[in-house]
Amino acid sequence: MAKNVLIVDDSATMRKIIMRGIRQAGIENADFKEAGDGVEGLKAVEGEKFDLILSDVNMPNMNGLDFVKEVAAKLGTPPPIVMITTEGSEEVVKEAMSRGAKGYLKKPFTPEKIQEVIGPFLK
Amino acid sequence: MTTQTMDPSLVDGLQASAREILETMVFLTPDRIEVIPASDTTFHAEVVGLLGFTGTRSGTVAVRTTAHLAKTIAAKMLMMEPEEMSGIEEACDGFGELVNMLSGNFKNAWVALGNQMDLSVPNVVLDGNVRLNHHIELRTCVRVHVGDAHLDVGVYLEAA
Repeated sequence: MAKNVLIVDDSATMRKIIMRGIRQAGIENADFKEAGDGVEGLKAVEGEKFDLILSDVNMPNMNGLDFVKEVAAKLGTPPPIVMITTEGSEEVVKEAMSRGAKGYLKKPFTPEKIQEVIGPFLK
Repeated sequence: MTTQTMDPSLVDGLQASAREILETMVFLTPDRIEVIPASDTTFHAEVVGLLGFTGTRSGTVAVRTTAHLAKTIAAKMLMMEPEEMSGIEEACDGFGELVNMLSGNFKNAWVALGNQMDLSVPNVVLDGNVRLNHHIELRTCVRVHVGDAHLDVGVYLEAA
């Protein structure tokens, strides 16, 4: 059965790259929904159940760190959230994890890295 | 105002991240990457990606290139041909993401030296004249050669 995956990123190009990367990683059982920022992402999780959320950090309107916190507050038991971002500093990673993120994928990424970080959530 | 020299590890990191991002996400192998003088804070280019930051120092990451190379980069990120792209907006979005990745990688190197940095989101200017803050004190620029064209990646830090 296909897994429902929400991609939250302000770049339409990056959302397409993430979808392509997941397929290149050999993960075929994913259906994708897209949101352009944390605000759109919150609306999406209100109306639909997701198996995995992939979120950027640096976004307008509501950044990824606030999005993670708001999803946890809204859903109580949210689906796993993996941050996909260029910001790989220990400080940002710790902050994301403390707010409820379950994984962290740094850009640029390879299909192998996607399989390693995201693959376990889509089995 | 005296322009200081940027920490060599930041300059090396900028060159390495430009190569890694282009090879991994754009599927383009640069012919060569070199450090060039970053003396100008006013410039004109067909496409300029700008990303501002604050923190230990404020400043700007400015990435400049031709419209053709910007479109090629954006298309290759999507595994398309440049002529297959829907328009310049799609190319700008992809180019902005390149600026975002370059800036994020610079931030990681900057933070590793004990500094702090908060990034804005990228903006892309088409065929424009850009003038950066004249209080720039620390700057570097690397030129990435791809075929007949090049991409200039500049980091400009204001006085502390």
